[in-house]
Amino acid sequence: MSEFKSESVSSLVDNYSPSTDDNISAHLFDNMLKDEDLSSTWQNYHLIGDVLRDEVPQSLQLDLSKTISAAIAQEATILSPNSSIYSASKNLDSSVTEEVSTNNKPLINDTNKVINASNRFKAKIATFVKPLGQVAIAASAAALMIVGVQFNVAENLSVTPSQVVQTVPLSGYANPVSFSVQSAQPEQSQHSKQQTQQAMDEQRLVERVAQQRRLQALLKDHNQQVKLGSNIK
Amino acid sequence: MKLTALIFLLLSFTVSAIDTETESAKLSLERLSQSLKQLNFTTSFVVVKNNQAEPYHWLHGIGTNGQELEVFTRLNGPRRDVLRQGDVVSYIEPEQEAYSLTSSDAQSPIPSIFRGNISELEESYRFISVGRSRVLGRVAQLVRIVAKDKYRFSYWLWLDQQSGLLLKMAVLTRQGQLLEQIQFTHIEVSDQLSENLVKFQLTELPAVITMNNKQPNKDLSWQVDWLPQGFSVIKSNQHNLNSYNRGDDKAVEFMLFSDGLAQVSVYVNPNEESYRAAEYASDGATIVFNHVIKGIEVGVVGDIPLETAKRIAESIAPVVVGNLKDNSAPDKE
Repeated sequence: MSEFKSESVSSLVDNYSPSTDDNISAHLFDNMLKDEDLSSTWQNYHLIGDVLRDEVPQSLQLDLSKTISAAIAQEATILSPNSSIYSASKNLDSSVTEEVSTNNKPLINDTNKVINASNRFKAKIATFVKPLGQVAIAASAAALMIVGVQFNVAENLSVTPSQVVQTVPLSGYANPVSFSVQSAQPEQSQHSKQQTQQAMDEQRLVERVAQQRRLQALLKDHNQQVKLGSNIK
Repeated sequence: MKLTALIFLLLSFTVSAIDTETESAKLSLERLSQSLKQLNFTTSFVVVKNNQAEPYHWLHGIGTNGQELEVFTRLNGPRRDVLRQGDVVSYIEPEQEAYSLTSSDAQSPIPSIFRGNISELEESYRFISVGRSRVLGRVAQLVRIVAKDKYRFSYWLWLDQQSGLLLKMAVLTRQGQLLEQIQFTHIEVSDQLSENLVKFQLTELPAVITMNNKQPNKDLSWQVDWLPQGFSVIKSNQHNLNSYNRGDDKAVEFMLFSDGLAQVSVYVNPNEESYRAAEYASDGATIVFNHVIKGIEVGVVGDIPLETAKRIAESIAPVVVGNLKDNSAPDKE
């Protein structure tokens, strides 16, 4: 049975179907996949063939399937949540290596290298992409700000000229210009308000100006006298 | 000077318990006075009143010959400078030629009493040390100079803990309404005289004008019957009041009063109108009040509440023993 099987495997390796019947050969494949001995035989035959044909690679990696499956197993566990941490800390890296090497499978170390390489690549991408992302966010925020500032500036432009005009006193002597002149008696001021509202009486205006001048003259003289007053003390 | 400060400190400890707040406030103010006289500083400040902000530069230093140098410059509008070299103060103003006076006080937005003897204020004001806050990025001690009566304003000073200099000042009514503010925007204290002052030291100030102050007070035909306590006459004279109506100068009797911090001018002159209702305007904390009653025009100007100005104006009465109409020798303005 096994004799027949090895034979058929051998013929399969040599690209000859052991039987013309497709069903049988399919059955053989199925068996071979299930049976570890057979698959190792299949591998060995291939290896023998390679050696005979002088097609052996420089680094001979026996049992690739195991390596791959181990790699897959490793990938699944390591890559999920730890990838960034893994890439970040070499300590963890080495601890994993140790853990793997304790399994005493000599080839696993190699596997681990493969994993490490892939992980490092991912980590590199991650560390590279992360700042990129941050930069992108910062850039977009800056862009928003610029847009906002420009918008504000544009909005202010319409406001500022009048403010500037207001704050710079025209006469240079700020105080009198900004006077808030009032009449002391409330009834009178009410009267005057009504009058000015009814008709902008010129008489009233002249009176206002005269009053303003009187008060300005007083304030000016006061300031002057205060300066001169210190002369006497 | 440090010794005197130390003595004051020791004194304050001995007095201690009763009024520690007042004492520490007074110490702060005395330190301010010392700092304003002795330090080399370069400052900028803004006077905020009437919804306007006026920026100034203020430099001070001790010259090589030991005299004080001081410069106030208003930065907006036409030049308006106050320069001081020791006892000579020059005023450079747009509306008249530059002139100098012999005086140790440079009249500026900063009350000159802060450079003088603070205890002169004790008759009319209380000093209260309130607490610390942050002004101009520095630790500041807030000192309130509170009016003892309702006839004047209160002043809040924020003083630099480090140098003792003024960082901020506010003038408030008794009700707490803010009238005027001075906010410093820059302060630099240095050991050496600043470059500008080194140059200023070499410049020659305008000629000192001499004034005839010999007019005796009793020449006046009007007197003020009521003044808040603490105000005293600084000077009185008769001079021409330059109003803006050209050629319409009018001779006034003039009296200047001060309680150390607030200065009040009173003007009295006869008017052709027999009555004009009271009118007033305010310029920050300064009130300008004017009315005509029974043919007599009275003007009151000063850093006082309206009610005080009104009451002073109403208290004007003729001097009982006196000769009327002596406008012959008007003082040069």
